[in-house]
Amino acid sequence: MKKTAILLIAVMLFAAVFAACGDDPGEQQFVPKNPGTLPYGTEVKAPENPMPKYQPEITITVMGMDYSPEGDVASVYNGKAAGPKNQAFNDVAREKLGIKLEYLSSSSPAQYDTQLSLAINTGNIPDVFATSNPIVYELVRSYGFVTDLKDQFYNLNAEIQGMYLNNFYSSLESCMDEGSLYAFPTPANPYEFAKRIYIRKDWLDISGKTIPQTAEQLIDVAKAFKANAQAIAATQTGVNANQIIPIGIHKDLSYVDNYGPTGLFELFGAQVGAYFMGSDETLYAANTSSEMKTAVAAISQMYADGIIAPEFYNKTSATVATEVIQGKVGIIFGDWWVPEYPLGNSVSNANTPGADWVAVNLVGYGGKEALPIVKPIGISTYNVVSHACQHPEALPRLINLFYDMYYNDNAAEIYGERATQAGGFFHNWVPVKVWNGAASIEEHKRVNEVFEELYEAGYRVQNLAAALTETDLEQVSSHAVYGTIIDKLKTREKTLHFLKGYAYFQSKQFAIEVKDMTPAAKAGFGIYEEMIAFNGGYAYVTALTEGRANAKLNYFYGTATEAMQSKGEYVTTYLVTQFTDMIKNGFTEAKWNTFVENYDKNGGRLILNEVNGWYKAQVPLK
Amino acid sequence: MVGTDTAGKLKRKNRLYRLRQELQLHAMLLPGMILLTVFVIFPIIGVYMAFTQYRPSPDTGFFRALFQSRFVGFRFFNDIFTRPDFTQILFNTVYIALLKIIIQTVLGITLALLLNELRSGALKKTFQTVYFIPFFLSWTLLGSIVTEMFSLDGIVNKLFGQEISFLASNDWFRAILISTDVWKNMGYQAVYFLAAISCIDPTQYEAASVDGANYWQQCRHITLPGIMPIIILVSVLNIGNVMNAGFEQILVLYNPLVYKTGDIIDTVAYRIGFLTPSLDQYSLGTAIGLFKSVISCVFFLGSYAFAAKKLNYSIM
Repeated sequence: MKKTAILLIAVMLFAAVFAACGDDPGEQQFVPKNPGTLPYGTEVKAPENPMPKYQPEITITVMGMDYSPEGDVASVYNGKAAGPKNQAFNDVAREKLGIKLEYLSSSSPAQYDTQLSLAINTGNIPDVFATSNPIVYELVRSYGFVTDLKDQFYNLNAEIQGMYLNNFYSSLESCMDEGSLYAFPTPANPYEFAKRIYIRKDWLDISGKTIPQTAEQLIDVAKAFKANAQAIAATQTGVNANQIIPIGIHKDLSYVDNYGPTGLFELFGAQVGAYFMGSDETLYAANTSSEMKTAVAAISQMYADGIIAPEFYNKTSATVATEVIQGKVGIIFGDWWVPEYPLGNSVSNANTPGADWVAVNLVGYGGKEALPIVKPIGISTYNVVSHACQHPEALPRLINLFYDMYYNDNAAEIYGERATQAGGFFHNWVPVKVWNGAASIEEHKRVNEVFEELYEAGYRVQNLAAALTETDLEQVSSHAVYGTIIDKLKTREKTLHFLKGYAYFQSKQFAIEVKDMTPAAKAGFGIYEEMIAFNGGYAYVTALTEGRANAKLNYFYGTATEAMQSKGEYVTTYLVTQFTDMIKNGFTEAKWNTFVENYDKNGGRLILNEVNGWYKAQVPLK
Repeated sequence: MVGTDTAGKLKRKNRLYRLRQELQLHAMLLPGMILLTVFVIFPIIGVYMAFTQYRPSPDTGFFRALFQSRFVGFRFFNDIFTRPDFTQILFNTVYIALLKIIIQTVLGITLALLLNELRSGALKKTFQTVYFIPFFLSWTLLGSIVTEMFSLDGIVNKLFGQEISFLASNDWFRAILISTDVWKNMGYQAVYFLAAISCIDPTQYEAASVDGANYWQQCRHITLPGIMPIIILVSVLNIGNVMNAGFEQILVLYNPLVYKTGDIIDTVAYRIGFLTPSLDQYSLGTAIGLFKSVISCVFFLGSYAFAAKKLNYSIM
């Protein structure tokens, strides 16, 4: 007994001394950032030859992502299963650039960052690689794993340099420190994440309602869907009245994504995890704001009214998408591409014969304007070079090659079959790449204009029952009048938008109702509403980008602060638990006040302080 | 004194002689020992990471980077222990795991006894297979089935004419977790016990039968004592798993409304990694792993000591 007691005391003393030795970092301090400037400032200095060939050939190690082939991507290449390690880009890189790509690993997109972290920690870091995780980028940058790319910037082709310097300088600057550049970021247009409301118009007709102009009207529409569930279910196959869900949301209240409650919160000016600018020029947390309080109270009432799925707390994003396709959901919230999936599948689904989705910009509550909430800058991936790589110029050369194979309209002539999906080229398998973040806006405008011109010039699809084929494209292209119009499109736009979308476009011009459209026309709904329609998904992104529509900014776009790392999970979990409870079991002032108090006390306040510290250290966005 | 020296020399000589005699046997142990050293004993050095803010370094190897990282003592343990919900999470973990272990062992023994009584070989194999099949199904698949079964318009509510949100109820959630896990793994546990039963000498039953012992008496005095070493071994090994309450199962079945009764250490660790990806994931992950290992080790040693003292059980 005595021995045990002595042993216990000794262990406790050791633990106390051990604990005291550790240093507690406390609240994180932020040093004002100084990105500096590139060697030639904002001037484009294009290389004479953006894709010179190495003589002799060099080997560059990379990591691959095993995306499943989609669209027309060939599943077999060179007689073997196609994938990152066996794709056309590897062969073209070897042939045109003299770069042999050696894959250290190839993993699923979900496993990619884990594999990368493992590679970094075991000292087996690839020569060049990309990561979509800002934390991983921050890790490799701050620990000195990656090399300075400021000189390599001028090995990028003139178009990419121009894109960075003219359209996305803030994205580039966010990867700079004291004049050094640590990554070629893939800039994303932040407005592409703006949410819209998608409503089943055929259900509006059945319920005798019109497109809502306010959040109150939207709630009325949802109630009407519930009241008319019997009549609505009768138009769907295999759906009964109690399966009708007026507003579809999933359980992940803290995720900013599609088919979830993000858009619903935004009707009230709130977004979980966002930080807004207050009147005193400091940031405040949306999570505990008055906007959020109004949102949670209103959503709770919607739940009580039965217009939100009774068991939304058990549904994932994939579950809601499936329910949309099955014809069970009347209203969802999502990004510009949602019309392609899952709405397109819903429209062309034989079980939902009249599915006719319309997109509506967010509508405000209590007489206020509702705005989509976005971050001021967006970066989808960071392309970097390992500090140990002997050939850092290989990265811009590989990026130039991808850019040329993807965007050059003469790619098929230069690279042959290998620049096509059928020939083994799949953008998701290319290990490092940069997209043109502004290209989609140009594409939207170009396709729209061409469709209008073709229609005005009298071009009509002869047989709406069958999808357009390459033969149709050849006929249009060889026509004296139509040929000059369609040649304004890039090759990719001809095969994607024209072949898939024109039948739907023409049906709309003929005022044919969705329920009367042929399957071929219906199949074009997704791509039409997503990219082409004047009031479609990308049209809205374009309007926001060009300032013709407004958005509300979430000013925090950095990586997780220290407090976020140590307290973030707890406060987020607490928020989700409390919000779900308030929505399901009823909202009260007392519950809200307790939530705010506990949230702030257990980390929310500390995180907010650090967010404000971080914000003050940033350079103004350009 | 001289006598003691001689005895010592003899003992050493004897030991060397035995070692020479058993050299082949020792050599056969060597590959296992090497694997154990490389993959189990040597990596234990890595637990030091739990006490540092680990930063990999581009210029040094793993170990140098580890020992050059900033020492933070119990900071990561402190982050876990000072969570307002830590006691609840720890309780959930141990409570769910313990109940699973106890019920699974008891029902596994019962099932083995019942299967052993089946006289038809075909019937025995059929039942054994039916009970064993769920073990091979993943929780990803079973999760959807269980969610569907216990949903508001699921079969369970329809069967009892109720409208209970089972998976959103803190009163029901643990019961669902335990019952579905027991259903899934019971057949697997029964196999151990069935194998142990088949090793009991049948003449014991014949003798008992001649002495007039009925089924229950045979079961109590022959079968259960006969399989007791296996029951103790399985229980001791299971107790070592007391901090593993079933991460995959809970992840696919839980929702924010039942965090109070269903959130466990593993799901919290998962959310920490998933919701707030952090530069300190390695250290925090190691701290959580170390904490779980220490508790599991205490439970394991405690249960083994108990078995050794009270039931005279020994692995050696």
